[in-house]
Amino acid sequence: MASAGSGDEKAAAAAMITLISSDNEKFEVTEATATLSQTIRHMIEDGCTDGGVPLPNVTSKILARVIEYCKKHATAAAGEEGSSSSFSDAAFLEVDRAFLEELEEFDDAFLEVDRATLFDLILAANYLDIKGLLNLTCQKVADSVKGKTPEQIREMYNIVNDLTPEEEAEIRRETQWAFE
Amino acid sequence: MPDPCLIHTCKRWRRLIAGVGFLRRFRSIHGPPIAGTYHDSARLRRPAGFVPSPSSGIDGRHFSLDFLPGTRDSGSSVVWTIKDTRAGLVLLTRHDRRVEAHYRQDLVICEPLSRRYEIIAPLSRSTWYGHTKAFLLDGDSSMTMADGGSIGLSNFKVISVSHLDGTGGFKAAVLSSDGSSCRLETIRIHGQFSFRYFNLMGHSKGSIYWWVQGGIVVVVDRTTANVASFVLGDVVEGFDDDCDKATIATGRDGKARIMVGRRYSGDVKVFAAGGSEWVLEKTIRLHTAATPSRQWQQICWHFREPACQRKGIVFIESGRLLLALDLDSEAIEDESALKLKLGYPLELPWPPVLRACTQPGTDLGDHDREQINHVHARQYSRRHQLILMRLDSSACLIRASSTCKRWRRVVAGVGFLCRFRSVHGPPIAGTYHSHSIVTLLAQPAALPGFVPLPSSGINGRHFSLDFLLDTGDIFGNSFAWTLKDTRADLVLLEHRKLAGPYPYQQVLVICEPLSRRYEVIPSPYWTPRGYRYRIEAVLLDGDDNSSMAVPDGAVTGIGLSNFKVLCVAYNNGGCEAGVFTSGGWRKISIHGQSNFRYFDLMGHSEGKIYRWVQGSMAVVVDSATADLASFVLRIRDGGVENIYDHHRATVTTGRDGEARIAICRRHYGGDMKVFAARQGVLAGGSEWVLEKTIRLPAAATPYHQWQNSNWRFRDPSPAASCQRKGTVFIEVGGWLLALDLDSETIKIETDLKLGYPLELPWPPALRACRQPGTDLGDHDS
Repeated sequence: MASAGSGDEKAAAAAMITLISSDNEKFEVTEATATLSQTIRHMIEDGCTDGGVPLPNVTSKILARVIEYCKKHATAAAGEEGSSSSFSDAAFLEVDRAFLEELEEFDDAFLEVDRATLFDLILAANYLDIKGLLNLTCQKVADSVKGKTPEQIREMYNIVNDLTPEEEAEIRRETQWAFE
Repeated sequence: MPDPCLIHTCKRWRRLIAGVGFLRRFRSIHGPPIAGTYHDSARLRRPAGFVPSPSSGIDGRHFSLDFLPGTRDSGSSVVWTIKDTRAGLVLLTRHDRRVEAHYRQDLVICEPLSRRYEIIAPLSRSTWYGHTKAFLLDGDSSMTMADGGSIGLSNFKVISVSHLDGTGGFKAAVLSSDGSSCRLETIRIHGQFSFRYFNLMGHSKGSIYWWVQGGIVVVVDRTTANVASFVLGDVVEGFDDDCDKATIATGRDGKARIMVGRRYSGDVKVFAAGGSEWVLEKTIRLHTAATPSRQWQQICWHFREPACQRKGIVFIESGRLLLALDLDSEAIEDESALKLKLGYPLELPWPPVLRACTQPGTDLGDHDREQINHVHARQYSRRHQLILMRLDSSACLIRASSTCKRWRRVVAGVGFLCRFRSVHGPPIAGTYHSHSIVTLLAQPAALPGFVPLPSSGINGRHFSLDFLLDTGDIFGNSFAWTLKDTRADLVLLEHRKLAGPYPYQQVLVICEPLSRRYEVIPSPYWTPRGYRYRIEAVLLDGDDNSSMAVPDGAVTGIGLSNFKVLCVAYNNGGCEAGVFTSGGWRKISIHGQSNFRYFDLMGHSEGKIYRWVQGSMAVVVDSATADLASFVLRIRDGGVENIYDHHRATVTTGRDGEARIAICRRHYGGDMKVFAARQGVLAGGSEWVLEKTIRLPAAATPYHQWQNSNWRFRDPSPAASCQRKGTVFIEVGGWLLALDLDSETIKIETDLKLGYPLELPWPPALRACRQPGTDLGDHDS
């Protein structure tokens, strides 16, 4: 067992976490990046991350994207903490604004993925409990559904219409005002 | 509980465990599978914490109650208190300190493992829930599930004891739910249903014992919900309600024991159940029993009934100590350390789910796949919930719910609509506006116009009131319409004939624009046929709150067949007020008086309407219950002033959620006094405390000169969307000004929505193609 004063090197080494995807690919990330996920944060707190964290619900392709998101946002969080503790003059505010804009651009670009990837990202964000990513991805899908008719939604997401014409007519009768 | 690892080892073991009778034998040997216990932390305003039982080998996280709304938010005003547990269910009360009925508590039942919950219909609107004691009982035996499970979210009963509002008595009722409907039965003992006491004695052998006045003991069987009673006076000679304390426990021989002690005495009599008789078994002198640990305090002690029982032990609370009295050895132990451990036990689901891969002789590969599909279906449904929850309007949600059956089931699933509404607020369709005087002069019969809210995504023509024009025969051809109020999806209008036998006589008409239906409200009985100087009318929630029991938890206390109207009719010399319900009009009288000089609107705050009656007297009417309370405002300490003649007043909600009354002299303006409400105004208190004085001319200077005489308060629409916390609106010289009570600054107001907002029907109708029982929507993955 390492003692408390065992030096910076050891602390730095301990701050790396290995994530293992469902197809057994290993990803090394810093603790700051990994703890954006509440699920992993709990595992770190419980001290059960030795030998890597297996994530059987997340494929390597999706995990790589999730880590990309976490890295960017972890540095953003670190940056915010740093700036709030230092001077808050106009120059710093300017830097902050530029940084937030950059983050927004990153998020927009991050969401430029196909439908299947987006849906897998939602599942992964939910499983890993990453609030920001879950909100971002779910909102993207919700926004695309807004103002669309049921037919357009089905077409957009390849949904098979399993309602009979009679059932559809009944639904429309129930809430006529929502369909016009 | 068979170790979870055993269940998943291999298919052969799995089939063995799922085999006929195995689980029943297992349970008879090992008893119910206790997962752990909940411990209340109500004072921390957090739901109960869970301590897993060490032998269960389970991660306590699965039993967290953090899925209950408002529990993750540390600033939430909701207080959750645990009431009871039974099998895998937890019964709690939810108490919102900030809603209008802050004295009311809702009962909520939840299943922590599946993270589902349901709000149980309250006994009645007028019941005060302050002292609710509630216990879970098994559901109907006709629905008993295999292997002994007889209680679940879709099959349970609750016995609830609540303090009756106003009468000071207690009432008990058993509520049965079979998942789709609720039934309520009030407990009657010897023809009586209101009791002076309803004291919990304790539990023994699967029954709950209560003691009501006259020494009558009510016994409720937790398995069958049967209610029986006997008289304690027959057991204990000279039993006295006021002086005696009684409790019940189970002895080490498995028989029930009744313990009776007198307030100023240290003797406890123990009675044992012998057949149908109770026999005095022994008398324990607490003085001698207590000596080893501490001096006995004769006055300050009472029996304490623990949620976790121990055979042959009675718990006594004396001072801050919790003492355990052993009925056999007559020794008292200090159990204060146990105090914190007396939690509410929760059982694991029984029988364990073993559907997948347990059928011999079938292709096991298929079962595996089915199991995998089941897990996937859960994940997908959770994902759909997350996406659909972020849609911004009710119309959008309904369109999305009609794309396919799976999406529809997610939306119709237990709790989804309730959560959707709590996130997005009431679904406002748009606002109605009265026409300007210019339009009305040209077109006296013009109906109020509707302006849809752009984000609602609906066509305004569905909300047109033109269907009222098709009723020319009833309303006559020469008439005028005035918008009076809106509430939920209803509109209240005043209709006045301009010609005919009774010109200018007002008629109140209520309508539901979406269904194009209307009803004429009979004339208030105190109004003789003919013209009234002015009629004011507002809509209140109806009496029938059975719709509160809808599984979606939405509160829809008002509908075309269930509403109330508060009406004030002005004559030249004064006014009268009344409330219309389905039973007709009921005149309002305050302190025996029913003719008032004024009944003027001051404003709205948190679902309550404030009106000024006369002198210094004001009334507050609850929009949800129509409860009315009067209070007196004192401007000067010690003296009651007849202030109304010389002052103007308004009401708003402060940023802390409490009501504020602002009062200012009528002609001179100048200083505005702000009074803050202390809690309990409707409960009879009249605590209004002067909070601050604001000098209006000083606050107004940046914009223009303050006009001393020509100003008045303006009350925005009562709808929450129109109100702004901590702000009072003032109309002066054609300007609308917003006065911020905290910063004491005035700004010219340009974006106050002054129309009458209309809500879309909620919960939306989702009857078509809803398959109960296939609800994966409520499982959190």
